[in-house]
Amino acid sequence: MSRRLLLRHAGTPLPLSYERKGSWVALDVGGRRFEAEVTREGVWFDVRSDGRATRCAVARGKRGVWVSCEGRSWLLEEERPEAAAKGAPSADELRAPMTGRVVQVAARPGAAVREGDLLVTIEAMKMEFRLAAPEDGVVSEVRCEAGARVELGDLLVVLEPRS
Amino acid sequence: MSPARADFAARTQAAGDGRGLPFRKVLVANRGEIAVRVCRTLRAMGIPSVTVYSDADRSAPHARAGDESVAIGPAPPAQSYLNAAAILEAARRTGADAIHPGYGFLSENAAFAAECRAAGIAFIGPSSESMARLGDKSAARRTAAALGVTLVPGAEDLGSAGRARTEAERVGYPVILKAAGGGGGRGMRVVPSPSEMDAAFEAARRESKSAFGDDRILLEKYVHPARHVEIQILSGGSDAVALGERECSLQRRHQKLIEESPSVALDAGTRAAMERAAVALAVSAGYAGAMTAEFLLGAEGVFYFLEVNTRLQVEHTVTEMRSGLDLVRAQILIAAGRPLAEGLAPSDGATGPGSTRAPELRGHAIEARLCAEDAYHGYMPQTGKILVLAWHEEEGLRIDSGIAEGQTVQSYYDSLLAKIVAHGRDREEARARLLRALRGTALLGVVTNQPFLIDLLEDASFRRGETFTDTVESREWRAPTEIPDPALAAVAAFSSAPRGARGAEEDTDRYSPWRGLGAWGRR
Repeated sequence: MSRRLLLRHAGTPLPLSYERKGSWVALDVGGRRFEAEVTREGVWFDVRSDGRATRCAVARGKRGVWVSCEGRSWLLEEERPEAAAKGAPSADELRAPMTGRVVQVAARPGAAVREGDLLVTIEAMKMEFRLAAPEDGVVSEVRCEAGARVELGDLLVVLEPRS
Repeated sequence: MSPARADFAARTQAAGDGRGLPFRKVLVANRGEIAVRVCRTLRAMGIPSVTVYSDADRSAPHARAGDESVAIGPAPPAQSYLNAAAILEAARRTGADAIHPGYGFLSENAAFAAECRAAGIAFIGPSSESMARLGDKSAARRTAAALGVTLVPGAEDLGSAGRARTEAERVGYPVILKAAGGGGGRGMRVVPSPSEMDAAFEAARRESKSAFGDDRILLEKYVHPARHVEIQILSGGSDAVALGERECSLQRRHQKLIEESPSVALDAGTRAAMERAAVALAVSAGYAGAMTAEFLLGAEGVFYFLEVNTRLQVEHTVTEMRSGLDLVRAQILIAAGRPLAEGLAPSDGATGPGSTRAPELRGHAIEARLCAEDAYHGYMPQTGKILVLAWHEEEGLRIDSGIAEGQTVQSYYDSLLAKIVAHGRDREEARARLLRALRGTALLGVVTNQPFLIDLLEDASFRRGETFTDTVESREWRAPTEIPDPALAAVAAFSSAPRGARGAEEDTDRYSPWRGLGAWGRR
């Protein structure tokens, strides 16, 4: 019996279905087939295929399923139908790329900005990060103020792209 | 615990030589891996320890690493780890009669060192006078110049962006702005042209003020290509010993990522000249403690003095791996007024007559700094809960970690999570060991620079020893986009396992830094 996983990686859907019998796992990744023996040892998943063994670790967190393999790791978001329907967030919303503190707000409502213009400066882990306009446009909303704490993903500035 | 860590712990544990020192109890005024690491030496020396923690660090490993711990205030550093009054009060309340400042925070704050002494508490570090002479970048430049050490052309104590522009015109662009009162890359800005000076100057000032409570800025000509090479010093006040160099050229945002010793670029003559300059700096200031003199190494063995760090450095571990010394123990002994020879003696208790000669430096050591940051997207700091943490273990490997499974990495503090240090008979053996360690370590739940460290160590330029201060940032490094099939097979196996049988949902704390440390680790 084949099972499907609805996953996204970096915003892109990752079509994955698999069959499993004991330690045998067969994957179908967008038409590509991969078979392996998968055994568990503590936090590790030992994956053997074609005479090659690979150690992986997997965990589920609030943001999705994390998997690491030979020192590299990936976050796979679990796709929900409603999220898929909404589509990708619009490009004119500048959101906090990290949790931190707003140091400076250069964006003024109504102001015309050019691509690369500084909009907001955020401080996190004692370093300053400059968030710039992704394209030419007009600032339609400023949703943050200097000194405020912001969480990852908080809306900071809305930009009306120049048409 | 890896065999190398076990060796290190056993060596120091056998000592127990803190008994008989004037310190009854030492407070560690820091957090993260360095607080954990200092506590380990204190325990080995038989000295009771106190750690301090902010509200955000209530459940952080360092808060449990000492014999006692004290809450010192809200999460922002200015209200906790930089809050001198709260830290001194914690020392008084617990009866601590000495403070180890670690690195960063108050470690290079001469006023804090003076306050400690005024309160009758020993500051494990140099006197505030030698700190003022060497730790302040402007003063250190003057001291070095007086000793005949070559300086990078520049100017000190710039009061305004206008003054900075004038001085930049004089030495020529590009220039670099630095916080006079700090280190660790904070407040540093490379300014390529006059049009960028005003914004860079204000940003450097703000960062400097926020990180060190001091907004004095100095300017230097930006020398490149260059290597960052530093000399580790242990100094007893009137006598000082150099413990070789560390090359720390691989940096991003002026913060080091990979450090190694020896440097492939240093010949014996240049090394000796650098060591002489570093020793002269220490002795000229009557310096007592551990100290590092940083240099820029240009082409053909020309080197320029950069600055002195009047504290233990993050990468002191590289020197420990080659020398067999415990530099924290040496700091404590020197602060207790013991002769330098005691700090230089092996800490296994087999103390001979004592010599102020540097121990032999063996093999090659390379350290990688594991940080919570997305190296492929502007080194953006990352936060999140650590869901899985499993370290690779093997002989010749040391891991100094300040994290544990279940802990949430927050945005208030430095992004350094752990240091992975590999030792080998030669550079290639150390490099291969460090790569095995990085590939064999699983850390899930927060994005780290682990894959980027692997990229750097695998890169042909690193293999050839072509490491310069702009190597990391002058190139574009791309994240691997394809997820390998074995990883997806593991996800499938994980997803199909019955709930509760999935590894990451169990409370697997087997690799916690507290394991093997006995009852004191968990209370």
